[in-house]
Amino acid sequence: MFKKILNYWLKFGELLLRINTFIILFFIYFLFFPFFSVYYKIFKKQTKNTTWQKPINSNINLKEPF
Amino acid sequence: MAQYILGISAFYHDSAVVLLKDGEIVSASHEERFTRKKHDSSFPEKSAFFCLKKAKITASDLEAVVFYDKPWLKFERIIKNFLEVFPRGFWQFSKALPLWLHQKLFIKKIISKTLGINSNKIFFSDHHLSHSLSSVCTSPFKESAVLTLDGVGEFATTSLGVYENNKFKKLLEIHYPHSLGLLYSTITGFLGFKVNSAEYKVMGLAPYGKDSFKEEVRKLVNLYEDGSFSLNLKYFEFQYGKKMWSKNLEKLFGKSRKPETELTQRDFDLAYSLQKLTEEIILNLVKFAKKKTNKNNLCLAGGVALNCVANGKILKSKIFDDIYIKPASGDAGGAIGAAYAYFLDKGGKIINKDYFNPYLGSDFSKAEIKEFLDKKKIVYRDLKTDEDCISNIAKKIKGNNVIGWFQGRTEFGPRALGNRSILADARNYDNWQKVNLKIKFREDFRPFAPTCLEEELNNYFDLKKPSPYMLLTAQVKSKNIPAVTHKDNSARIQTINEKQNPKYYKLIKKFYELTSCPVIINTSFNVRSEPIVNSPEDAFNTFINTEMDYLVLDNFIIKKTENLKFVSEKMKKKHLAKFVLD
Repeated sequence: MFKKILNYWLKFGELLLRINTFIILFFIYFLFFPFFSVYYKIFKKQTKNTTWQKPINSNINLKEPF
Repeated sequence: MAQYILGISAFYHDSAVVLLKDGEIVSASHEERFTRKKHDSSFPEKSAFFCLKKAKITASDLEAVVFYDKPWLKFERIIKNFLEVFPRGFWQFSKALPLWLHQKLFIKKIISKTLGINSNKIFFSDHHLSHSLSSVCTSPFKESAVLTLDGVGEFATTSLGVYENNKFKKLLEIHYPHSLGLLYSTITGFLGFKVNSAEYKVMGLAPYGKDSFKEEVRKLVNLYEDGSFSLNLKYFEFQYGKKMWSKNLEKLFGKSRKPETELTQRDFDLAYSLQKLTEEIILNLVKFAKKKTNKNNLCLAGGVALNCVANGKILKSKIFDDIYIKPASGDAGGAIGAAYAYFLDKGGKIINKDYFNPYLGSDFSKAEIKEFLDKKKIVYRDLKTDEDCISNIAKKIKGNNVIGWFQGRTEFGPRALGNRSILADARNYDNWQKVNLKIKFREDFRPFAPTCLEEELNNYFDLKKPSPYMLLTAQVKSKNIPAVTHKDNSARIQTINEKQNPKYYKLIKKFYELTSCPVIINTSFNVRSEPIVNSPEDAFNTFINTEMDYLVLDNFIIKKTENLKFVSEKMKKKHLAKFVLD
């Protein structure tokens, strides 16, 4: 019985956590992204007659920033 | 002291681990072989410990662990993508971000904690570099152009490089969202098959169709004179949507097919036109690669390089004198390239050998197999010598029996190449349906691949070079092997010689002596959606729950009719239910 009640609360807690995460992500997305999006869309390079680009790393580079 | 480097690919699809010892691959395994989940993408812990155990070392003996791509660069691409498609990407954003924040940005920590290794020994290659090096470092060529094609890595979806004087240099890339892999995957999903898993089924479906969607599929892409291409994004939603295609694609081809429903002529025709378009794009890229590098040989890698029909066309086009595609061309093989990236960076010298040995996974000794059989009380015969076993089984294949063949080390890569295979007589057309429907439980349109003695290749197939990894398709010359001849008279060929796999070679040679036919059916030892069997127990479970006639574990022969006590409908259903259909 105790296990059942505990499971119920755990599931409820998990649901709350998911709702919270969703709300946080919703705010991040709709508050911050519009500004950067406009900036990004204005300065995005347009390609013509080719999609080949210079590679980000031409040679072996095994580092990561963090 | 020997230098050990561990290469890892994980978290997207097909997790795998490779162990290099002084620049030589000593072991490699897909995680799915241990976890029994097809295309398992979880961290390949079991494979990593298998590789260490096989080499009789511990994690502290490793000089470096190299992950096959750069998570932070990939994360940058994902954020840029959301900016580009704002505000349509919220659904994908809410799904992706928690996963990245919980796991994918902290791969160093996961590796360090799981293997118990210092984090300063952990490095990150980049996705297409890993693909490129996995191919050039296992190829027979000292100089080559290198073309990689897949869904997407960090930013790149296609890359062109050059390998010479033991050095690799990436020359050009095509960036996301313009991706040949994603184009193929989108239509795979549209045709009701599982994305990142069942693309090969669309390739197998194509020969049943005709080019009635030639004009329509052309609308999906823009092709440029320099071989590059871009996707016409109004037909795709993979950047932001729940599904990969948009309503515009449905306007073009009609409603998408629901999984497991009947295939129609529309589906066959769409698969055909897509395959033709893919071949055209690949050939354009190959021509450009030749022009840009002026090398005589080409190495291919990435998931798209598993398209053996396109590979066959590249070879036939003679743009390059020779081509090489390694057996684990998809993401799993990226682990090879990651390990070699560190090896080359530290001044290691690659020795390009004539043949890359794909038998790198688990193996079991005679004693271990015997112990398993005795413990389970399975009725078996021990034929003691290879010669007796080969002679016995060749006769059984001739007698129209279907054989589960389990020998030596597991293959690295998606194809069974004669160590974890189901074998049958290619001369009997009925075996196509028998193996498809009663043993593999898979769709009836899917063809079977042949294994042919290398010296007999030209008598049976229109193929100018051996194909040891089953990655080239060619036309069949003989009418004697209907069970491996596809609708368009083609076959995906594996050639074998004595050096590559002596026991398997001798088996087919014996079959040839008995029947005058040097070709047999070879399909992977699994049922639909099951990873290829890894252990004797996996092999026995698959054998007993299908209509195979004999199982051969090393030289132990197990006859189905002598083990009927293990056969039950309930067990069969339970076994098949374990695997999620692809």
